[in-house]
Amino acid sequence: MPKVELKKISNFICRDISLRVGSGELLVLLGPTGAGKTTLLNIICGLIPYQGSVLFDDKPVDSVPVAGRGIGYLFQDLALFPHLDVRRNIIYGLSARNWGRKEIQARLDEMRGLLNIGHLLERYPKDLSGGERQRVALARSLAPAPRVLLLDEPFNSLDVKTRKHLRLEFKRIVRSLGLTTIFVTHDFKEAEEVGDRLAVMESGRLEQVATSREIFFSPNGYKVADFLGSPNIFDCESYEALGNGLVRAHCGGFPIIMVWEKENLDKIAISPEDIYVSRHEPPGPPINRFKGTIVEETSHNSVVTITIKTEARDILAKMRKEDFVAENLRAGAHVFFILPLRNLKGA
Amino acid sequence: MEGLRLTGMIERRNRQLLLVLLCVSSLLGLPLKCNSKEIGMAVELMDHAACAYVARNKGWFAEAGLTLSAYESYVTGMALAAALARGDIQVAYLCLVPAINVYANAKVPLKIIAGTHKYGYGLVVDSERIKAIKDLQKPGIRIGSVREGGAVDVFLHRVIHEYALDKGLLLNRVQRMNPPKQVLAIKMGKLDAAFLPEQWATMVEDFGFTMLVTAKDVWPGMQGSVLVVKDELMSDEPRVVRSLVRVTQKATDWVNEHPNGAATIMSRCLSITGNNILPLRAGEVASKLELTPHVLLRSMARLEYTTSIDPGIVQETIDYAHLLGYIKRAFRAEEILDLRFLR
Amino acid sequence: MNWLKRIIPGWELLPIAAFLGLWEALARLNLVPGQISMPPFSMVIEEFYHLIAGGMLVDNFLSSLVRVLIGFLTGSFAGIAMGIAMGWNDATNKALHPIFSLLYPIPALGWLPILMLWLGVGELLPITIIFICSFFPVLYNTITGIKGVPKDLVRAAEILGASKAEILTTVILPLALPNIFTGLRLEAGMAWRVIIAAEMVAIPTGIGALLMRAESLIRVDIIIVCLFVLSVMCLSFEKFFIFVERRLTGKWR
Repeated sequence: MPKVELKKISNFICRDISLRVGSGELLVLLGPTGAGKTTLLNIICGLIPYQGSVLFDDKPVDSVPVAGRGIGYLFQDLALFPHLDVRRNIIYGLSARNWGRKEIQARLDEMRGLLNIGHLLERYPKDLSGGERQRVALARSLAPAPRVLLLDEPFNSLDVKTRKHLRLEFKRIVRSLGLTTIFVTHDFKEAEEVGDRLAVMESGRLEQVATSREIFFSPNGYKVADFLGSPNIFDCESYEALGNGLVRAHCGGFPIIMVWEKENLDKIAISPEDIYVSRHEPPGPPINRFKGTIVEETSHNSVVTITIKTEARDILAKMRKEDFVAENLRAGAHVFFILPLRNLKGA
Repeated sequence: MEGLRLTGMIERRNRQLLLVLLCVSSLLGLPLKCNSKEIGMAVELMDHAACAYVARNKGWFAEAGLTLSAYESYVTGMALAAALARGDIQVAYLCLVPAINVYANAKVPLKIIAGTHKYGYGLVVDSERIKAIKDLQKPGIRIGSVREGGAVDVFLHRVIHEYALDKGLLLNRVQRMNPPKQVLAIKMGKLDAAFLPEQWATMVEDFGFTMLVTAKDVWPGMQGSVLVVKDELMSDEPRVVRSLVRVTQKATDWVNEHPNGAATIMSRCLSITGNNILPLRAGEVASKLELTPHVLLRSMARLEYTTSIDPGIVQETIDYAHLLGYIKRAFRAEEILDLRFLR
Repeated sequence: MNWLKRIIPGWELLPIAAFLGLWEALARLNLVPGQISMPPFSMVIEEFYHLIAGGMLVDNFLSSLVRVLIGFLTGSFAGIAMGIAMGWNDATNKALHPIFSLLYPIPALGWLPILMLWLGVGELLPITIIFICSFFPVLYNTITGIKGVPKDLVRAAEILGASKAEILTTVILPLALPNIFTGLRLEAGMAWRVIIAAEMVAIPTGIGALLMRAESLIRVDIIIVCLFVLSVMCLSFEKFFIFVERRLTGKWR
């Protein structure tokens, strides 16, 4: 599978983007809505004009027409042809490329097995569930044996459970095929789960390209940090093993217990929305439980961002507005907060 | 006749004012009779109703104690039938054939109490293209006629019958339109022949057309127009009906004795009325045509103004209408005739 | 209403039967004074039979039918072809849209006087009126249908390797069909309404001409028969297109 390189890509949205995706790599393009992620995918496809160059295996494809670039594309709204049944949707690209009947049938059988959609072939998109539509759309984009796979927030419209399930399945399929893949999302957790590397975009610019851990612990500038939700990062001075994979880290006055089986533990991070805050002491074991005072509260839509002052440092937490009100919290209130084990990240 | 050539000289507004003045003067000249009867009257827009125009102009209706609450002309038979049925009008001067249709098809109870004239229909042709009746069957000949159900249509069928023409061929060529539209079409060279009632038939002679056949040629004694009243007027107000017959007879006699005067009166009345009731375009055509007393005189010479009416001819007409499919069932002429007041 | 269905099979016909019964009674009893008497329903049926047996209704109906079919089919075909050109190609749309925008609001019958001058009074006149009546709505529905196809579907087809022609025939047109059929369905009925009016102007044959004859003869029964035929044809044409649309698009809509 080819490696993909973008050299100084610019248009009305994207500004001077240069990016490399290795052969068989799964790169996640991450950023808020309007950052230019979809535009960049369209540029790679050749669907919209641009300046700069797109290269597959060091060969420029700028003058290669869309159909000739060997790209599979999974649109945000899937773009299944509503007037064609599943079978004809999947083989659409094969018919367009004049594949023989036997080849088409063989490929269809492959997709059936790969994505478990054999029982759906006679149905129409309107009769499919959300998850089934995703599988069919993926089958359609994979059927013509593309060299590069582009996915534009494909799991957006699904419920949490189905989304998680499909993400894992998708990753397994893409890995098994060894496709060079660019996956677009605005959800960091999804990006973290899916991608080998992440490329963070903001306002048409590429802000940072690194692993998820690197980005999370060392965001490149306030824009990236802001997008990630300004995680709380604790520098670990020391730690001791507690057995059963647990360690206790000493982080500037915060004794934090977390699961850690690697060698060095330098930093611990937790996202503000993952911190549990309450007015009264919560029940349960006293693990990662601290006290502080709310010094600032900011409301935005249905989320309240609060700054909790402790002896050691300030902690940023986010709560749903109804929970904030239910707990009768406000600036000046004394609170308890927990850093749940499962939400801690170490580096 | 030569004295007054009002039609071309008086402006439209002045003509309307004149009509109003005539009406007012008629009313002012009316003897103060406490038992004057209001009646709605329909008058056809042709010199067939010469007696009605003259009688009104002379104030004879008013003299006889008849106040005209409405004085209308109707473009279609359906409209006339509806007005009769509703009671908007109780008296009508109209052609015999439409009267039969209104009675038999619209089931409006009415009686024919007098005739007004015989004949009054003609076939006019472009003499360069049509020299004989059989030439109507030549390829490309365009023929105009009024809609089915009119006296002119009956005349058309009689011509076909009398001259043994190909009925199917001819009827397929006929373009149905009212007389002013036919005249317009003739002026624009869109018709080669037209079956028309008088005075229209005579009028198009001024465009180079020739009268080829008249009603007299194909149906001796053909009844033209008649005077009809609703049954309820007959039963409720027989004196009024008698007055109507008397006035009609008086006016008819006057028309025969003073053709020039009658032509002058009608020349004025027909122009004004035509403007007011015909569709705009047709009205414009009608008003621009030379409806001079001279033309009317020529036209009137082709009618026989008489109130006498032959029940045998009426029966023949009823039977013929049945034969043509205008009416579902023929009936006896006595059902529709009541000539007791005719002298 | 299920209990009603169980008690009286075919209960949906009851209101129609009641209406016809009322009509018959009112007409026979002549309960509306001062109006031209309305013929009873039975008389209309009788006249309907006579008109069919005598061939007059069938002949006139066939004349109208032929004109409607020719005018409607040519107008629709032209509307669809032009609609595809304008919907698919921006330059064509920009060039033609101003002209059609000016012509579209003119009611079909508004063209009658000028067409009478240009074409005379013959078969071409009503056919042309029907053509105009059908062309514009089908044109605009086709354009709407084509422009309404989501751009992502076009892009998907392009990425999957379809040529422009293939995209038009395999994606755009099938998805534009519902809109096209809406236009066809609406105009199929309208064509019948318009032909009646067009035939009333000096055309010797056709349901419109028969209607005018009946009016001249004050034959209300024949008028009702003509109106009934008109109603049935409007309905039949509309139902036909609904059926065809369902066959072509029912599975996926």
